[in-house]
Amino acid sequence: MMTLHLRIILIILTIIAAWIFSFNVKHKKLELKYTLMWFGEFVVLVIVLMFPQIFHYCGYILGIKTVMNTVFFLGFLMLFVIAFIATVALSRNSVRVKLLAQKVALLEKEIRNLAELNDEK
Amino acid sequence: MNKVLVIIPAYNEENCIVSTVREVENLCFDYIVINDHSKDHTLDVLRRNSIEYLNNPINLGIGGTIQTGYIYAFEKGYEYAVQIDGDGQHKPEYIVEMLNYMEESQCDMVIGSRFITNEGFQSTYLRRKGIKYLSFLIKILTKRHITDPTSGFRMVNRKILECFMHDYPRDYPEPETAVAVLKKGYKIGDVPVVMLEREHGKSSINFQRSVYYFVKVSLAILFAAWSYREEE
Repeated sequence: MMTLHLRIILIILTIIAAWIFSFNVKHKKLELKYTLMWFGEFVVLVIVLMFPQIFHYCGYILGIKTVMNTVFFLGFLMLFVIAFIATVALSRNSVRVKLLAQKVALLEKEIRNLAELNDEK
Repeated sequence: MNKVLVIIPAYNEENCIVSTVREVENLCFDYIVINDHSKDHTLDVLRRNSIEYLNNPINLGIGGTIQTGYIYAFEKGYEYAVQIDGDGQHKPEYIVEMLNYMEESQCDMVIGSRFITNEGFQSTYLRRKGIKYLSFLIKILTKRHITDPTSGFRMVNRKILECFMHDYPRDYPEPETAVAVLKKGYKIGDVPVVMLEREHGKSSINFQRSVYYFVKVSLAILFAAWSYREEE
């Protein structure tokens, strides 16, 4: 059973985490697009902490005996999803950056060629 | 215009890039040096000696750099592109032999191989074992024998150019792209070459990286074999 004490601490921690993310979005350090999944997670966390029966039910379905293990498992699962999405985004961006750098290299040569042609004239 | 473009990737090669380029010029081939955001004065050297170059605005690694060259070669309409190292390991005179072999044998890719005549710089014992292992892996997956799958001294035709300009791995690209080429049903041939020990600079593969190399290249070969089906 999760004590009320623990639940309150966790809710406060979640709110602090949500505030840190909001602060960073406000100051344009994080893009809202990529923080949405985190906010989704915070909302789920708060709901689940307010109604811990959900943990009991999930634990029952998954065959986990202790509530805390269910908490850890679900937390891990959510982090896994976020890490996966982040890895996909990273891979895609890495390809895009490479493509852009190559285009820049090719265009820069074109510009040099044109400048040389101009000088000759 | 020449039908072959020599692609010379350069990363911190201020000492030997000029001599490599002059050798290529003496053979009357078109070339392009690609400076991969070198930390030394490679770029200045290229400018001062009025060498034809492309300059990557960020470091792209050997794969990304060669790919820049492939895109350039394709866009400029070259028939063939050949890659040689900027550090003087590959002797440009073999390009002629590779070109002849390419045209006679109707291969799509020709690899300059150290291990046909086993002459010249043969690399260290461990590396040779590693290369044997890669050959073996490629043989199992494609039923073709590639004597020197890690050689960067490779010539490709326009068909392969087009494949590579769309899809080329970022680091240690040689073995896996050989598998991809074979799996797509293209032909690879090899020509004996003698490689020199590098004059300056160090190999990009040191001991710590060799573990990464082993894992990454093995997996990449498996994925390449899995991704591309042989065209009937």
